[in-house]
Amino acid sequence: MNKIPFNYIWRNLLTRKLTTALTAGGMALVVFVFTAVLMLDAGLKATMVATGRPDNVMVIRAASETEVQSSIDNAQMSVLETLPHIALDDTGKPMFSRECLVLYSLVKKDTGVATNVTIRGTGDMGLALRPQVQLQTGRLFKPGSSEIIVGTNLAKEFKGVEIGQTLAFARRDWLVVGIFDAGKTAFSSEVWGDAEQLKQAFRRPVYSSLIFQLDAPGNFDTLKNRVADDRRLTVELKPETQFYADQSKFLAGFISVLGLTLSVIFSIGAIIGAMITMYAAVASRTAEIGTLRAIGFRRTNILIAFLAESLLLSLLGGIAGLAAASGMQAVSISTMNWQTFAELAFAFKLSPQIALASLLFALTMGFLGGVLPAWRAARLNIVTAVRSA
Amino acid sequence: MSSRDASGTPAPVICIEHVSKHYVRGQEEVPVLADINFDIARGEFLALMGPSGSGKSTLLNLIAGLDLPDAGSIIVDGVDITLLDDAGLADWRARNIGFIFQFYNLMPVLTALENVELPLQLTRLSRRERRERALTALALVGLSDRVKHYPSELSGGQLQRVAIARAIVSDPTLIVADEPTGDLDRKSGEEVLSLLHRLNQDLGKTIIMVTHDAHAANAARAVRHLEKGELSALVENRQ
Repeated sequence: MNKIPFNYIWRNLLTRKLTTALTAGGMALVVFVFTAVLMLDAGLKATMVATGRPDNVMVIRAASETEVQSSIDNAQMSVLETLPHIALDDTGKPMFSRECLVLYSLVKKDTGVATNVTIRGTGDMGLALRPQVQLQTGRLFKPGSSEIIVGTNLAKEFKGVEIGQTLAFARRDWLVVGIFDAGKTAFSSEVWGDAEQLKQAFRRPVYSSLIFQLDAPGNFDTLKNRVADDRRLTVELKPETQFYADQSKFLAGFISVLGLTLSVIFSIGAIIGAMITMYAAVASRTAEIGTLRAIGFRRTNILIAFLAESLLLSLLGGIAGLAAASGMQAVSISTMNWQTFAELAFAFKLSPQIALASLLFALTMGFLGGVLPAWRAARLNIVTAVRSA
Repeated sequence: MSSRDASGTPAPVICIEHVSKHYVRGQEEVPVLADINFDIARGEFLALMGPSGSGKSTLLNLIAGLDLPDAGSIIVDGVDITLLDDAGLADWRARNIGFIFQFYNLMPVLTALENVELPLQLTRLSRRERRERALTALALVGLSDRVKHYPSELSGGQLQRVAIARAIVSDPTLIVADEPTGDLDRKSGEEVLSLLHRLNQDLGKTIIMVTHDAHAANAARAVRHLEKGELSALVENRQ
């Protein structure tokens, strides 16, 4: 507990309003960038993780990291479908869905630029396995037809995907019959149609992936080992949540590394700013420091008081930066996921952990900027300091 | 509470023995005080006079524990303060010394009351006790109606009276005043001097005041002159 009253520390910051505002403002900018990067990273991860369900298992060809790269032939598909531990639905049907994925380019509304979107061939069971996918308007595609439904993000951002419009690809016209909402998941940026129809139209002899539900989550390892031991199979099993988290690794890593590197570089500027401010404060209050020492305050009291002033300054900056960054929650970003080459929409996501990390980041800047000036204040010679009044 | 020895004279509260001090200016050693010896009795009001550079402020700083002598000992209430370390000396100052400076040295961002309360932050007193004592001290210097004023809202004389309230609030063994009227007009100066006189007369405070103003020195009970690092004999003022 420091003995120099808090009023003394706080009012000194208030007295030099402009300097305090500018220094804290510099820190606020850095904290804003830092927080925004963490929020972007969290938003991306949340989107990808939410896309999967923990009891669903994704099967893709071994060593292909994404569904687009993967292919599973019919022979292997037949083996996979007879695996144990696949859950059954109410009617006793095994809950698996063979899916095929292709990329198709659509034109974005705001930029007019063509961008890759994922077209997913699936079926009734594909929808049943993903209860987070809900039809918003229109109806589902009929099996065996050239009908498609599109995700809400896609419907919002791309041209020509309203209900009743048709998309021409694979030498067919595909009628949009519904728009589905998959919440904040990657599915919201996809086009869905009948798997068999899409496979034929794109002349694909193979499927991209198989997704099934486990009868009990604890059986994943047993199943994984069994598949690994089966020489007929060259596939890899992943829990769906992990599969989607892995897919965003590269993009999330890129955002984090770039953003955090920038934050650290900017923070050096903010630290130097705080240091200059605090050195100036020490210089202009030399007589006060001398007086406090004469009255009987120890060097450590002075050190803590000036350090506290710098920390308080950085906390102001931190709170301002965090407040500005929290406004970013309203912003949604749509960009290419370089691993799947498909468009992915996600939002900035603020969590208590991120808020805490941002404030700690600000306080670290305050500490680094304040420690040398505070040290200097504590080491002043009392007699000369008192005389400088 | 002045204890007296067998002869009836008050026992010294401060004993200064063989104190010397020099400063280094560039390559040169400048002697300031040379083998100073004297005692200050409890309840004394001593004026230290001398021309600029005579070492009177240096001597005051040594007695107040702001600086350490090159040689000699300074014993205050039985404690040789030259043996204390930096933190020990700070704690000692907090308990034993009340400071009055020429330029008041108040904290501009604190009110008169908060400035007076400052030394009490170093005590174990509760917030309420601190406040009560600070108010009493301000009442004693006649500033009960200025407790919420900031230093920028007070006149020079009022500022020095706030500083005096700050110096006496923790009931120190000794009050040291360095040119307390140096920055004041005659009238305010008189007020401050009469206040110091009252503190000495009525409350029995031991005061050492450095001044180069003979008029101010007259307010003290006794005067010593310091010249070229050497101290004159004690001259009692007629009150």
